[in-house]
Amino acid sequence: MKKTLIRKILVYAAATLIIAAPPAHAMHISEGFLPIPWAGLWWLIMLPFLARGIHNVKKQLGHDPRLKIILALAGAFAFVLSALKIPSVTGSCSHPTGIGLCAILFGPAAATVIGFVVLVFQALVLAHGGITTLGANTAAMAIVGALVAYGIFTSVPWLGGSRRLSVFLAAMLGDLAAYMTTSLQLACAFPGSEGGFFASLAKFSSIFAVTQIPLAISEGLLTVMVYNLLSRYAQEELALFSIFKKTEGSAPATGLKRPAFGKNLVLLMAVLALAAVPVLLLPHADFSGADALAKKTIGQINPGYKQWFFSLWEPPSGKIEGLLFALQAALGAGVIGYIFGFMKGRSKPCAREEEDLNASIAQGQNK
Amino acid sequence: MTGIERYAYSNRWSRVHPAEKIIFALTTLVISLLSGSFSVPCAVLCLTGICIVVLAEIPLRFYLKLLLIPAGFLLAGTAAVACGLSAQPAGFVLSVHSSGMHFGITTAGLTQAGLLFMHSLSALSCLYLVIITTPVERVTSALERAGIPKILIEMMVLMYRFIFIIRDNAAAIHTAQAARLGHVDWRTGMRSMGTLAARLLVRSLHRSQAMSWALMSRGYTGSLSFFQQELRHSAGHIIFFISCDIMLIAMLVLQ
Repeated sequence: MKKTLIRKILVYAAATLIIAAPPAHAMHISEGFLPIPWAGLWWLIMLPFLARGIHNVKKQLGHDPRLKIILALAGAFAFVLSALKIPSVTGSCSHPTGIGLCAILFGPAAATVIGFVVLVFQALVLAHGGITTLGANTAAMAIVGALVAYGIFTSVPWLGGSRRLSVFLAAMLGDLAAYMTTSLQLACAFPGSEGGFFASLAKFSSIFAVTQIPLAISEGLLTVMVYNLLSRYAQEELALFSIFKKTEGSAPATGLKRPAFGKNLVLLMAVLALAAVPVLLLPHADFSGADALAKKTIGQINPGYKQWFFSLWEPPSGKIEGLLFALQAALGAGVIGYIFGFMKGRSKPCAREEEDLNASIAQGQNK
Repeated sequence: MTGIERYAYSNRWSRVHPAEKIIFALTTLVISLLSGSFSVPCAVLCLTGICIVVLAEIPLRFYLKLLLIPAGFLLAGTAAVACGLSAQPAGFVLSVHSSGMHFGITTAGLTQAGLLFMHSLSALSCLYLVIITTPVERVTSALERAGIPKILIEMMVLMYRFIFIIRDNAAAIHTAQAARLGHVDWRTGMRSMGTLAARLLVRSLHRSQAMSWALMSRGYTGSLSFFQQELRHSAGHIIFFISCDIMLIAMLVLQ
């Protein structure tokens, strides 16, 4: 009895998925969906990463103008790949994002630049995504997606997993991370009136999970297949592509052991956990500022105290005040990001890289 | 060529200066997103719709079809905004009650979702005003003037040229695979897509190397220059755009 019920539910679920679902796209926030302050904030957050990506890529391009053509080709390939339909695990179709493959082949810096240009073209040619939301979409797919994919691709072999597993997990979790970031962006912009940010996050991520989780799994499978074929039949080409990865540091092109990157990932997770713990443990706590606390304490000590100084300028509304705070935070984040990018770019050994580059180009040509 | 590109070259506004159109579309978009009421986004939607369908002579059917592209995302996204979870039954239009919590469509959520939907549609229409009436090359050259890093622009120009070659290649491989029953079921379909993607990457790489050798032998030093027809600014269009925006700003302030 119970079995038939479960089977019925499964059949219904499968039928709705097959009939109702058009080919699922990667989750791009469409034009105009984000309010202006949030759209601007994501642009500001995204720009330092993009600048760093461009800086890295430019340095490699300085060595050889032909690399520019290869990079453009990679972008065009990612664009066409995202327009192809792959059979999804649920039986319907979905479009891959290609960001996992790009991050694995070219490294995260080049993947960020490629992802950005692909998103611009998707907005201009296919009308997917948009210009105001380009910042948010790039942050989700080309930055978080690419970084997670590359981090997992390099850290799984380091932890003892097979190459095949690392490619699958990189592509799949890269997609999932991008989709979770988009849900987070939407939840920030539209917190629920009751339950706030977390209720809203749960809402958005569960509604989009229906299409995004099957998409991530099929993309993972596809990427494994592509990577296996490439490493079996196209070793020289792979060597040529990995030129862009070398801008990331002094690691070897095979990228097999990158303990530094793994450690950074662990540290990043720790920071996130540290920030999340108080919010999660004290959902009803009143997170007020030091000013408000001081005011309260003064009121307790001396109830008859009279304020003798007033602010020169008051923001016209709470919304504007929030916007100004967000702007200030974004500017600060931008400056810090720029300084880090600049310092990292400066502290790189150059001579050895050039040698490697010439060797790999020669290898690519001799083929 | 997809529909958008075909119309981008052949519509009546393709020779209007791209900078004028882009600035007009962006200001209108910002005005629409800044407003907190239904009236301004509706006005923007009507205005841009008239520009696209009447002035640029894009078929209405095509324009409406384009507006439907992000429908999947919009419906799911607005549905998520409209829904709410609460311990009190007050404020719900439609709700399900289970274990002390109410879940359903809230009145406040519904208004917000409606506003969001209108904002998105009007913003989309602004975006379409640029992309259906302007060829991509003109957009990139306008962006170059605006001071976007040169390397991004060059990548965009090169990429735009590659897209069509790679797309034809992919279509040819797909047809060949389908003719050999390569897409009959899930398993073979997946394997075929894997080979297609891997093959496509290698083939296009070889092609790009051939292209770069051809370019190098003709003195390529890292920049490609194309013939660009200079478009003139027209006073009529500028006045039209400015008066439209002034009207919209007046609506925004007066509401």
